Amino acid sequence: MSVATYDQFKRVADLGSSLNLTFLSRYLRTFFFPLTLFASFLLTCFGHLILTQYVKLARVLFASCSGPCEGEACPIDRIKNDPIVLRATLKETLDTTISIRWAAPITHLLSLQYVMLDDLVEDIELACNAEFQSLTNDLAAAL
Amino acid sequence: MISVRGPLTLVPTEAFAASKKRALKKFPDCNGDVDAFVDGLCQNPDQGDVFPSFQRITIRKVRLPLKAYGIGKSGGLRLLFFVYPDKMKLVPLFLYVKGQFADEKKVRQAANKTIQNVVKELNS
Repeated sequence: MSVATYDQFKRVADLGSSLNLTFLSRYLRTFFFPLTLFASFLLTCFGHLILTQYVKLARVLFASCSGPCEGEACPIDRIKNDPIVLRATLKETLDTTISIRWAAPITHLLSLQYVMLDDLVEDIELACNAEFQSLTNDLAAAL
Repeated sequence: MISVRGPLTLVPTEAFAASKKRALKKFPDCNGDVDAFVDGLCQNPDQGDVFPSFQRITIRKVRLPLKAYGIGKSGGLRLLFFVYPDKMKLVPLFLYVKGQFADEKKVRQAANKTIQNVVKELNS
């Protein structure tokens, strides 16, 4: 893994966390007249671009892992928790937005981001698992 | 990451068939699509996201739409497969629908159990 890649990831992750999604969910719950919705939609589009980049970079880091997990030294370990926290926040925002009929475009974008993060979390959970690694080695031996 | 060219030999297993049956219980019309996709994978296995930290083998996860039900890739199927380039073999391991399991831990448990059955079957 190159250091530049991790720095890139960290920058995007920081930018992502500066987008206050909880604020967005409260904002939508309180006001949902068209102008506010439009502003929220723009904010969500911006968030979508950042989160897409975030997941792409996390995938690059994930793919760069070259061996069994060694605690602090493991690159996956450093990105493991961020997607889980972000996913929980997105879920909360999504639950709020889904009840607002006019907010369908926002809900659509949020759910796309949610699935991307959820897939990433699932993949990390599977791949960073000693049993899974040992089973795949057994499988290679069985062939 | 190993890039594989040329047709691979598909290794079908009962364990994968059982996992496919469970996943497609509510979507029986997609059986043919999944079979066709798995056959296509043998021609072009470089699809989907790669799982890291494997040296001589490749594990990938690919997302498939449930076209017959109007469900796109994001809410569709997830297929986990194994490629062994040295022996030119491809083993489909585990199939599930997005949302079939409550959380990622349940996905991991189900995947490990199915792979365990695949290994048993290949060893017997």
